[in-house]
Amino acid sequence: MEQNSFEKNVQHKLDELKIPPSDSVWTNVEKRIGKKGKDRKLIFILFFIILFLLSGGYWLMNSSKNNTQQKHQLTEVKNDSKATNNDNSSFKKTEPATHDSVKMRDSANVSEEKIKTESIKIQSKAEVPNEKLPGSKTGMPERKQAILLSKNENEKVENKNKLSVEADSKPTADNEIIIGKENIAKTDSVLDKKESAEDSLEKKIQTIAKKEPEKTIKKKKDHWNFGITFSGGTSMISKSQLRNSAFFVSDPAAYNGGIPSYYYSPSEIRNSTGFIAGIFAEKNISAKKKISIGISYKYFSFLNKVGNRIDSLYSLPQSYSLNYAYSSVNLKTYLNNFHFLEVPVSIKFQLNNNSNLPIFWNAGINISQLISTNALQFNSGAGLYYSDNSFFNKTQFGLSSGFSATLFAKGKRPFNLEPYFYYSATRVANKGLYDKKHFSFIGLRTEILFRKK
Amino acid sequence: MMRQMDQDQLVKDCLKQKREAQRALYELFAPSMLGVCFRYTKSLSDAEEVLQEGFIKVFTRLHQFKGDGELGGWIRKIMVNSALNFLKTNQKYRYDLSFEETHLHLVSTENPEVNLQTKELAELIRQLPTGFQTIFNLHAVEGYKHAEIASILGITEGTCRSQYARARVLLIEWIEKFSLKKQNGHYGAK
Repeated sequence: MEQNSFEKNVQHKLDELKIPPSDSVWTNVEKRIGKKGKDRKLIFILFFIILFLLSGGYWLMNSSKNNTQQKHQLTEVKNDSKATNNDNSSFKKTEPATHDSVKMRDSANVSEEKIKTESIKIQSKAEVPNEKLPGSKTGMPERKQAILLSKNENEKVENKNKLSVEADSKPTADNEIIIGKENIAKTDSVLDKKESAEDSLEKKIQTIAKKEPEKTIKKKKDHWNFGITFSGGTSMISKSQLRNSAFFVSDPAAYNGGIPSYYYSPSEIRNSTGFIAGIFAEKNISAKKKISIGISYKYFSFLNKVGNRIDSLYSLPQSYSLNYAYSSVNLKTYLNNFHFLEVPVSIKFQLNNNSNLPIFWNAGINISQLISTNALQFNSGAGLYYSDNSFFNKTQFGLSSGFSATLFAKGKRPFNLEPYFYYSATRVANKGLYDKKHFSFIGLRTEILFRKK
Repeated sequence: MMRQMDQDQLVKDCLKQKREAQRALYELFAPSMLGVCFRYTKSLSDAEEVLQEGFIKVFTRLHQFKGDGELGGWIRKIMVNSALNFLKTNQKYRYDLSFEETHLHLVSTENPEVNLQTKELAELIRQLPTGFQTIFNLHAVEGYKHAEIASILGITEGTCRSQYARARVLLIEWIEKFSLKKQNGHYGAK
């Protein structure tokens, strides 16, 4: 009891000790806590930018799909028209008027854009071929239309196109056939030629219809396609630097003038599993180059040996608010987890000419944000492992590379398989156990692309 | 002293990142906490550095304060831990914070009256070697047990007791000398 009176006396005295700090302390505190708040805001902003880009990409893809459908419709009409003209050319020998209709078709090609605007009109006209027939029968054949067109040469191109497209449309071909039928009595040879022309017309339409899907696929290569990706492998950290850690004192007696000092060394940190999973959008930027952007969750882990957990509030050398630490006695394996949110941007270069099994070299940059970690720091003086995430660089910039082979390249679900390597250019931390270390990852990456029809 | 309700409101406002509340909390506890940091370091600038790091931790981890204890006690523990971390990571203190491994220790039965002013006593404690100073602060002032201090500093409990006993003897000797000088009209730390 007596011994405690001195301590109590000292304690009581020192409890009264109050020293007003200088103004600079609060200024620095204010700056630092403000910066931490800004960091959080930056993460949210980054998240929303990514969300915006992804939704923008999705919208772009959908709108492109609609355009493709419109173009597809136009292509159908144009093919019909071409088939008709080809048919007309077969009639050239018997009906001079068809020559004029070819001319009109040529004039129609003057401005394709204008034709596109008229595609709906063309379609509706093509669907009701009989509407045109009476006109032809009642003395409005193509020759007259051509004459009308030549007379109105000075008129606007739009009108020309209208006329020429009307002349170009399928009903015109039908007109030719009907005209041919009117003349059937004149010569049998004409009839034979007409029949063979009808057959060739059908064949050509079928051929064009078969070729058409290929054209559509070619157009779609310029669109964003979405996919999922998964990489599994080993997360690594530069080992050699760990052994030279400032915390590690190989000869404690060398310090403090030969008086033995008690410093503890940390256990070896070993590589462990890591994986990356996410979604991405991909687009062709040229015949052999693709650009890819995505968002992924990245998990890295490392193992080390720690001792028993110490839960006492009074026993901790570090931020006790975490309420625990681990002693340095190597008793059990501890798994240090790192969870990241990552935005990878990469370019793929096709290395071969094989369209069935294309091989790509991928090179990219990755921006990662550390979401959470349970990684331990080490205090050499106390010989304790403790948690302090303030040591870590939260934003990591990394480089990635790999060679991928695409299976089912022409199918709807192309499947990429590649060895994948990642190296973080940013240090893991600027102090503590992970001081001046860099993350790296090696593994196997798979990608499945979901192509739109 | 601030009422509990006011303190709860202050904490809530701080959690909402209200700068005025954070400033109020800082101004409420900063002088006494600088007194704590002052006892563990050798200079006022170092003490202020510890205070700064400590308050950054306070504001970033305030959500972990459950409200089941006194806010002042919670902040004080953060300051003590920040101070210990500072000593272990700062080159200037790091090599002084070493201990001879020994289980022998002097048993002092002296319990002199401490007729010094608070600042004078704190100055004398700061004159102790860093190892002694740290152990004395943790045991005599913060009330940590020897086993706990041993665990914190990575030493044996015997070494901790021995170091504390030596620190105590030295401090009592200085207090007596200082008191005598004070009585004779001579002031000085030693």
